[in-house]
Amino acid sequence: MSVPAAISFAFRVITGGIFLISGLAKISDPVRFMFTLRDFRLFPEIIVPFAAIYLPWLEFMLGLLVLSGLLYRTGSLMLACLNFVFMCAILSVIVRGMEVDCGCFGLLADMLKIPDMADTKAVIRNLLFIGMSLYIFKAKKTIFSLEDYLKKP
Amino acid sequence: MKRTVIEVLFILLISLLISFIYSATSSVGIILLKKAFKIKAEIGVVVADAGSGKPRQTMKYM
Repeated sequence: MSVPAAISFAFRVITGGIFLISGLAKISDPVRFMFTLRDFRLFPEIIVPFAAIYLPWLEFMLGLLVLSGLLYRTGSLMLACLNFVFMCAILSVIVRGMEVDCGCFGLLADMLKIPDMADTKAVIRNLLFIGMSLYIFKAKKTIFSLEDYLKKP
Repeated sequence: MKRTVIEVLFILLISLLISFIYSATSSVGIILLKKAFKIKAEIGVVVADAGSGKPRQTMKYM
C-alpha cells in the first residue's frame, strides 16, 4: 500500500462521508434548505424549489460514489465543481454584506450545534474540500474502492 | 475525456431521477414539487390550539 493511495483513501472518507451526511440532513428537511437558498438571493424564484429538491440528492449521490469508490474520480471532480459553486455563492453573500445561514449541513448543524453561517470559515472549508477532491481526482491509485474490486478478474 | 463527460451526465441524470421520485412520494417533497411547477401549495406548521386543543395552522410560508 503506497502513501498517495492511503492519502487518497483518507480524503475519500472525509469528503465522501461529509457530503453523504450533509446531503441526508438536507434531504430530511428540504423546506428549510429552500428558505436558505432563497435567503442567498442568487437564483430566480422559479429555480429555488427545483434546486432545493435536486442539490441535496446530488450531494448525497456524489458522497456515496466517492466514499464507495465507484466512479470516484468523476465524482470527486464533480464535488470540486460543486464546492466551487458553493464557495462563489458564499463569497457573493460576504461581498454584499449579508448575514445568512450557510445551509451547508442542514438539520445536522442544529443537532450538533455547529456554527453554520456563510462567512470566511465556510469559504476556507470549501477550499479544503476542493483541494481534497482534486487530489482524489489526480491520484493514480487508491485503496478499498469498489471500482477496483469490480475490475478484478 | 469522453468517458468522464458520459459519467458526469450519468450521475446528474440519476440524481435528478431519484430526487424527483423521492419528492413525488414524500409529503414535504410533493409540496416543493407543486411550488416548483406553480401549483397552489402552502407550507405551514400545524399545532394544537391552547384553548380548544383543536389543530390550528400557525404559519404560512407561501
